[in-house]
Amino acid sequence: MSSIGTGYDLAASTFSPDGRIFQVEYAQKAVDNAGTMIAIRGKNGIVMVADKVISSKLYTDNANPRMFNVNDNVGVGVSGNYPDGFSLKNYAYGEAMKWLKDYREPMPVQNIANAVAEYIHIHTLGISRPFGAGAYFISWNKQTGGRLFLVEPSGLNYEYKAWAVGKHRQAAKAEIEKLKIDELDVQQLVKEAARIIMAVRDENKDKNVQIEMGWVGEHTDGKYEEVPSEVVTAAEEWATAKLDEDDMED
Amino acid sequence: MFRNQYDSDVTVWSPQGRLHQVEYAVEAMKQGSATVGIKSDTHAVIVALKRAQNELSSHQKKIYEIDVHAGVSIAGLLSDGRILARFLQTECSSWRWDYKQPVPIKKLAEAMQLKLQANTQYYGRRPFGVGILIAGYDKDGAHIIQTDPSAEVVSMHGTSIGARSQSARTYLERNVDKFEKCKTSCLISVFHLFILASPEELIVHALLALRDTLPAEENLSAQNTSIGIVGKDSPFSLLEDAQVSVHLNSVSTHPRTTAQAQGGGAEPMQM
Amino acid sequence: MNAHDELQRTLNPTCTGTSVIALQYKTGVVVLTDRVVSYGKMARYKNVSRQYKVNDNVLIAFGGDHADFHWLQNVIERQVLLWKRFDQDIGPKALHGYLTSLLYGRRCKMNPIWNTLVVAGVEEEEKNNKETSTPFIGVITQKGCAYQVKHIATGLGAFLLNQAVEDEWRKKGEDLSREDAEAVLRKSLELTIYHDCVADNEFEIGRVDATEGVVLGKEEKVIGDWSIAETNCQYE
Repeated sequence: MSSIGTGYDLAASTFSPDGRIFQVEYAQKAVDNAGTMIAIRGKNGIVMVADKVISSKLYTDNANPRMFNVNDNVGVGVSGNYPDGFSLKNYAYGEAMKWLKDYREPMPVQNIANAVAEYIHIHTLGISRPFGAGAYFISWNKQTGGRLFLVEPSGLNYEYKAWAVGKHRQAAKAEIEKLKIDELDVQQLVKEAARIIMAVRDENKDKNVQIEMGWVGEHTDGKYEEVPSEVVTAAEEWATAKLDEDDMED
Repeated sequence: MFRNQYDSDVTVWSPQGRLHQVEYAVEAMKQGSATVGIKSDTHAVIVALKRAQNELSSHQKKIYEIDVHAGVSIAGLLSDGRILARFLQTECSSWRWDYKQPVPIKKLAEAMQLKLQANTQYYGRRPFGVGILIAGYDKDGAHIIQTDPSAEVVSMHGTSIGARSQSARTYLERNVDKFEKCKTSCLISVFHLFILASPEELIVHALLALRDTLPAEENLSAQNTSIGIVGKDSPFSLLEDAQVSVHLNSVSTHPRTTAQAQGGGAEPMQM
Repeated sequence: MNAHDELQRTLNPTCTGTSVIALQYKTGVVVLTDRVVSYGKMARYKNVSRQYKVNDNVLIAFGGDHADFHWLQNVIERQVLLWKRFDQDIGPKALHGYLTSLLYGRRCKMNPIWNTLVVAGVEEEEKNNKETSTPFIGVITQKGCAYQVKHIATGLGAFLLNQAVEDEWRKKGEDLSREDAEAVLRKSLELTIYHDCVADNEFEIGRVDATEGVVLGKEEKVIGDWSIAETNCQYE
């Protein structure tokens, strides 16, 4: 059934006759249309990569970061409508603070993802509009290994080995599936992730784009960190060379 | 009456995943007279164009001091802007109350973003029809923060918002390119032009950019121009009338750039 | 509770620590605390530190109730995270200001935090520029009375040591070296164990230095000269 013009798609509080909530689906579109963002769990850590448009050279470096610390151990990467994502990040941060106050230890990643998912879900019930943003939550420690969650505008929250959201998610997922990700260490992941992001770009449309990366793993001692810019640059150079090489073979 | 079904309220997503009401609020900002902000390593400057409703009324108030180390300028619905300026003043003073120190500019940016975002999500509210530029100086140096009604809050080297602000941004970007050409040997970022500029030069650059937002028959005057400046060891100060004239004098020696966009024109500023 | 909603607060702390002694030297601050937890006059636990590293620039030492301070530690930890979010490290001045309001607020609610706090650290005027760092010692009493000093002894040390510490400090003033400062602290500790019955001879000296940051101390011991006992009345 088509959604547009039926009147069943004007509020999150309205079901359509075939049981869908179109407002939530539309909110998901905000994520689907935004820059590609992937996260991959490897042998000894997790890497998140976002592709973002820098529309003017007047912006300062990393003026609009998409990745943040929730606490020392957990990183969040937001995609979709930026202010909505920022608001989610802020909520996650507040929940982590409350947890620290109550239990006097850092909030684990799964609890953070669940808390944010609940918060997002409340916004699908129709009092306000659903969030037009999704969020990855990643962490790594010796006991549990790497853990990666994605919370969506519908309030769904699943754990993944690897995933892609945004404009070129289908192509990116296809590329990820070609890798034996369980065998890759973080250094390799960074390169491959950069390659995938660059490979799935639309050369005609995706202009003035920039890669942002975050990681957590054995090498950071379980602390979530922004990937240093020289590592990102090296990964991009490697990826460019690799992509050129692949082109030659074609 | 509505342009489509999906633009009556902020709580409605369009099928394409857009928020029309929020986009319309951005239009309100674009109708306000322009303001420009640029920064160097040590100083941040905001300049703004004030309109007068009629000959009997005073000019608008476009720049507010919010603390010793920060000020804001406004483009769009000025009464919305005044509320946001007041909000930021409160943020500044509550941080001072807690820590006896000036608030980090990043904290202000975050507080602004969350406040603006809430007004794009909840029923019964409307987005703020205003954009603001925050000029501030803290331990991380000078800052220009740009905000808009859609709650995009971003840190800039230099920027402009409001009516015909594209011309001002063009001025800022263009000066950069010229500079890059003459210094191709070193990878100096475009805004080193401003980064090394003295406070006075910074003001002139900002005013030249602001002047580009005016139609050819109008010009900057002491009455319609406000200047705010803050920096290392210099508290925020708001210049109006006579103090503005001094800087306008140095601006007037530079020919209008909008008028000769095709001709290339003279160097807007010699460094 | 009776019909008039009367409420009695805790009137005494439980497990406590005694004096804190701190002293500025040329490029930093040294802080001495002993390592015993008293339960009344009983030495209930040994080998417990009364110093807490906040971040690279700040160290807090406390006297008074251990449980209250454990709670404060959590409050402080969250403040550190809050500042990190804005790319800042909270400095000693800001933390001192914050804790002052907190302790004063609690005493006004007739529910005081039972601690005397010594906030020690170096205050960075500019980021990543150690040249501009200056030593800082701030004291906050249980009642929220707060002040900044160049040297301090709290608890029973306030009665016994302040003059001794000040005399030593005045000899060198701002040029006092770290070694000299630590010697003053060790001597002071020795003086407390003679007269403060809940002071212990096992102690630690932590420091905050402009270049080294926070360096927590190792456990040390002083025996002292107990021939002093001979001069006491009725000592056999």
